[in-house]
Amino acid sequence: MFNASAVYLALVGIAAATMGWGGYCWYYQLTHGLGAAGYQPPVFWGVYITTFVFWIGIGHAGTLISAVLFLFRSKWRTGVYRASEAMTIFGVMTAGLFPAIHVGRAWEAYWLFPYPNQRQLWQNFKSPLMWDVFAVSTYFSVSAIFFYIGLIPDIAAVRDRTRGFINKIYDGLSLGWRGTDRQWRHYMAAYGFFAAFATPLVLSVHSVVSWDFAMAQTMGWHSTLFPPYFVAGAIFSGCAMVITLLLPLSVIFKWDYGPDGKRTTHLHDKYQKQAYIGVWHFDSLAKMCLLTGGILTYAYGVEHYIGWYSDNVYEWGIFEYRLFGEYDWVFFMMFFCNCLAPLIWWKRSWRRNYGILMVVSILINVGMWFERYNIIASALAHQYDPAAWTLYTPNWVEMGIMVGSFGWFFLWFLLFVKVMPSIAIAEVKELVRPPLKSDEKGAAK
Amino acid sequence: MSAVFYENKVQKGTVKAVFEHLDTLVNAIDEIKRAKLGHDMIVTSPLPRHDLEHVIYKGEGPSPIRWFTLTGALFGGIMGFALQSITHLNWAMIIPAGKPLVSIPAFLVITFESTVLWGCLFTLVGLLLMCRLPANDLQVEVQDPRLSDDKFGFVLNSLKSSEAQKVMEILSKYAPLELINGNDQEKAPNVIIPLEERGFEPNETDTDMLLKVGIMTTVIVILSIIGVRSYFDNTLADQLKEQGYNYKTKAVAPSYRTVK
Repeated sequence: MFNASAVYLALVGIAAATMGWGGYCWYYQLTHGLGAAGYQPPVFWGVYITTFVFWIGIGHAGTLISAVLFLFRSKWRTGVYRASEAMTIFGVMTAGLFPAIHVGRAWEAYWLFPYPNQRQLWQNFKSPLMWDVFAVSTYFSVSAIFFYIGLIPDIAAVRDRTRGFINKIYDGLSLGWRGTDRQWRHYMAAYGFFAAFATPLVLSVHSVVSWDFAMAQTMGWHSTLFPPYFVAGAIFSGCAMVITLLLPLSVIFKWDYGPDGKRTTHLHDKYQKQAYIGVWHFDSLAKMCLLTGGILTYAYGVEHYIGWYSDNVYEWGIFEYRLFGEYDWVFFMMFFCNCLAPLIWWKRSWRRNYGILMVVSILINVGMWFERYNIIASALAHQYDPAAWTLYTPNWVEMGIMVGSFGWFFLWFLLFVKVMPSIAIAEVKELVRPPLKSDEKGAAK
Repeated sequence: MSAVFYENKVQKGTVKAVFEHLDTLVNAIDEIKRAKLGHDMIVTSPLPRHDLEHVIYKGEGPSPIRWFTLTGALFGGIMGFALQSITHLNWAMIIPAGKPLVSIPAFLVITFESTVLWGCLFTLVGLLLMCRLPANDLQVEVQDPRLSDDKFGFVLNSLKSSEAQKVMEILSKYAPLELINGNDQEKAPNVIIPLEERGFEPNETDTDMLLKVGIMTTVIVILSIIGVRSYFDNTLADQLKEQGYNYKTKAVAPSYRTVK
């Protein structure tokens, strides 16, 4: 923490510049109107909704790792969950921008929420789009509370090691936490409840996002398969993003060093479970990707099978179009990145090879963006009436905002790792056997 | 090395001990409680330990936080459903395709989200109330940086002189790392002790880092916006000119932006 190297500042600079580019594109759209985006009727859901769903998906793994695996008492989560939670918060923050960008008049975004007004106008709560507003805002609120509560004891530890103005900031953020017996007792009870609340949210959020599509009478969308398909995809992409983010951090901060002072690798994994974040953690994340990637591949197969078996020309037509139409390259990009590339991780040593881990995790995220693009763009471009068919291609404004969202996300993450403990200090201490006098006596004998 | 100082002050009528080992602390607490001296006791630890909770709260039920959670969840569930029902009944224009105004299946999603959200918010309030947070007035004895590192703190308050003496005798049997009787310390002036002398090594800090990162980020954002804007204006203007369009930067909508 605190010391900023030239590499770090360069990364911050790249992220900020990318964000600035995205910010400019958004500014351009705001000042020139929504026509500046490349919507081609009837395709009015394009890159913005694709990227919205992508970032919501990225936000999934954090809460899965922090809450679900906490309830299952999974030990490997301890090292990685803090950074994963941060990724969740920043991912959902990024996703939250896109509905506002998508509707054009971002300054009216508060219309999405119910509030008493003179005209007695209320939203249609039967609409899946309203469900989505509630699902995403609840997910963000609960994840943010869970994240902050987890941080409090660690912020207190940082407070005790700083001076001056910075100490005052951490003192305020720690809320005066002192780790007393009373505080820990209620803290652990509350933490369990937060985890229990966050767990169904992990499953519900992307289910609700999938209903944005599945509730519509659009071919290729109207399917009961969508909720599990979307949830599996979200966890898949989220876990891949955790690998993409934590692998470089682990190398830079030497979190993968064992007590013998050597890096834990596939060939040297004697102390793999004692490293803060090392091959054991990445191996576990890769296994999660294998599981969810398998579910996803199965879902791709099933949706095509359902389309064919339905004997509905419109339904099967869209799947044929995805396979052999103008968007075929999108489909095959998605298939390669999500279904074929992760298969390399079935081999244990390749799951533990940093280079392979990094490349495949990036491929998965590319593939998951294309998956959402494949679902959205192709289905809208080829609806029931052939006279309305079109070919949607994003323009520079949309792509600029999409690329800028990565800058925004990485900037938050880079700032986070520098000013907050990115490994859960108190929980890592729990993994270590506490110092016992009886142990010392035993050793002396 | 950066020095973090703290005032190792113990008030009159208070005994403070710092333990290195968990088992000796647990045994000490047990004996203090059996001697009926643990009526005003604070134990601090850098991590949650069930061993400590069991010995301190022996015979007591679980944390009452759960009642906050239950109340919040019930409130949220009822409020979520009521919000949807009342607003739909209030503004009857929302009748999608003749379906019922109050529809349980359609309202279930937001009811669930509201249940979870309010359950969490009430749990948060409960946590803050039960932990007495934010707390900047916790007694000075627990404001010891070692206790958020790897040591366990044990503070007994409201002790008469004879009780304090008895506590000192009991605790000294368990060989704590440090044992201070506030009654004795009153006689000696307080000393500011650098932590390094106690084998505690705080991390190096660079307090200017936030400022550096902040300035750097701001400068880069401003430069990138200016750079991209000017680059784009120039290149787009040229491209449009080639196509026979006149580029007007001040127009407000794309349909009016280009004039042939």
